[in-house]
Amino acid sequence: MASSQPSSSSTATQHPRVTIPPDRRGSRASESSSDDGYRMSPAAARAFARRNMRRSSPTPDLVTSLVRPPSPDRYYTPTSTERGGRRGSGRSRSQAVGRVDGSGTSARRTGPLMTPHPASLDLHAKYGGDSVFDMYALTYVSESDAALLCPICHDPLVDPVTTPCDHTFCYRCLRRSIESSPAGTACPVDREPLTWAECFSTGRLVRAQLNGLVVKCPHHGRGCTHECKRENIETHATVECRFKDYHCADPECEKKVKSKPVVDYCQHYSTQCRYCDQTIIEADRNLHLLACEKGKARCEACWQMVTRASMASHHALDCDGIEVGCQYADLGCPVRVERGDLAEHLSECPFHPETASGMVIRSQRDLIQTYADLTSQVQQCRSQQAENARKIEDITLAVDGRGRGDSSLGDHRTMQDLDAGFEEVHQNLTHLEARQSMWTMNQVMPIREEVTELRNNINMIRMHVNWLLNRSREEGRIRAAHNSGTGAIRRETSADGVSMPTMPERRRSSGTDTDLPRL
Amino acid sequence: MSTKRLAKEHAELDANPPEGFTIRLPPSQSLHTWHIIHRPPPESALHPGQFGLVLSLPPDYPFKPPTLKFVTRVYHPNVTDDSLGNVCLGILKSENWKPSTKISAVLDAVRNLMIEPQPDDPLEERIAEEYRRDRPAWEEKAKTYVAKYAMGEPEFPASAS
Repeated sequence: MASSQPSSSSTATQHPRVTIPPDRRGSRASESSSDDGYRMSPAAARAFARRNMRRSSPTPDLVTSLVRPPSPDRYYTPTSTERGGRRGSGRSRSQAVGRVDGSGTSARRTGPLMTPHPASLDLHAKYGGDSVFDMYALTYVSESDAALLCPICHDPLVDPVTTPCDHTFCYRCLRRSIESSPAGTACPVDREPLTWAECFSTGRLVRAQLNGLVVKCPHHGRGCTHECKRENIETHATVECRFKDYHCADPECEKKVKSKPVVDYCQHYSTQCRYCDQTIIEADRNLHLLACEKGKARCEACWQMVTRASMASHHALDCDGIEVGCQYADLGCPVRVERGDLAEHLSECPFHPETASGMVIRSQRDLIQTYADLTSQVQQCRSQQAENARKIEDITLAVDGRGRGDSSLGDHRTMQDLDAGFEEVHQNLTHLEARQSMWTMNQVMPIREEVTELRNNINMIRMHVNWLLNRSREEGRIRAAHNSGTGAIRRETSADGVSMPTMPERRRSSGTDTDLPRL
Repeated sequence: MSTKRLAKEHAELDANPPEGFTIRLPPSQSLHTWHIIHRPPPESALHPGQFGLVLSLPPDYPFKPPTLKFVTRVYHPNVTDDSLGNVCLGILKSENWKPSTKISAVLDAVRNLMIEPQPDDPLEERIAEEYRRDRPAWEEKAKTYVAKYAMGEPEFPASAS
């Protein structure tokens, strides 16, 4: 029950897509009536759809063009509905959990291009092509269904490849057709434009039918009667068949050779590969050529013969069949084309900087770039501003903290300290002043006492002197009285003299008297 | 490389030849040159004649178109009135050639051309003009040519190229 549900839902999703092809074909038949805006040839539309599809795949260039992602139904849906369908299918896939790849692949009409049989690569004999088992030369036991015949070689298809216009050919026939036609791009049946990149391997059902065809052993001419399914014939013919080896042309030589000898002498001698100078046995030359690094192999993308050693660089640089992105992809061109068509695309690429649209696009891109630059600059400025603001805040915080805790407090403290110091100094000064005055007092008092004492002594001495003087004068007058005349005069003068000194004495005494109390 | 297809086509045509055609392979030559004898049907003005044609298949047939030449002189707007006998056949032009076209389709085209000339795409402008303007006169001349050149067994050149 659980298994039947997804299948029914997948057929339900498939159904509308199956109905699209007739619709689309009708629109192709009456193309003029149904062109909405941009007219595209059906093949171009398909190619466009396919490119869109391929562009969405994340795989790199090489892988996308050599091994294409599976996309069966894609061709038959117009691009617009195809895109919607793809988106829708993606949604439905995400909703229907557990369905393996359900509607996603059924939405496409293209398929992968499988690795072809080596015989399909059409190697020239000089590169060892002769030793490749030729699937194209098989003899079929019965006439097979005409539908399974290649329109080119009229034999049952080998490595069938289907074109976008739904014709099927052998891989080798189609490649030869593309190679030989001058334009290289027309379907061999209806001449619809076609490129190799758009072709894909035909469905499994057809391949299974072809592989089931019964063929004769390629050695039937030598007597092998083996007949088997085509898918097994190579193993039989190269491994099992007892007629696969030929005797060496030289009857003396016991060894066998893989193919019918074309010369009449023994092939088992050593020789040199003409490309890589390696020593090989002549009989194994072809086998060596198929692996020789300096021999050429077919590039499956562009069908050129390329030296095996340089295959990788060929794919990376020169191969015209590899799908690459437009060189203006960085300007927005989403187109992916094969390298060979790149020049053509570039000449009409709307993103080409020389065209009008390209100039508009470029100027717009420049604008966008400028806007982006400006935006980033603004953002940078903003972040810088934020940073600055943060820094300023930090600084403010630091300053505040210091003002509150350190500097202002410290100032206060210093002021207080200073005040206290001042007061202390003041006190000390007062103290010192008091001490000094005390000291002065102590020093001056004894001096003053001494001075008073000295003054008293002086007064005493003065009174003694005065008494002595008076006594001396008295004695002088007595003597003069004794001597007559002269005595008289001497008396008078002595009287005057006595009266005279008493006056200053008095004065002096009066002076000392008045001085004394002062001290 | 194309011999397998050629052999197959030859075998098919040999076993079941289209009406009015006989196909022979020139002796000791590869499959790439076919000698064809054509007897136009009674509705053609060229009816009783037997016309020899040489079909040359290039080595890269079927990717390149074969070339067809009349060895019998024929009075026809699309065939040069000379010893070369080049034929103007639409499907053999390289721009119209498709690798899937079979030789039987080419032969059918030849038969149709003998019944119904294409004066709009002529090789002999003079004969085309005559065919367009005065069809009985052309038929008259054509029958004269048939009586003169095409009544016997056509002779093929020894080595058709």
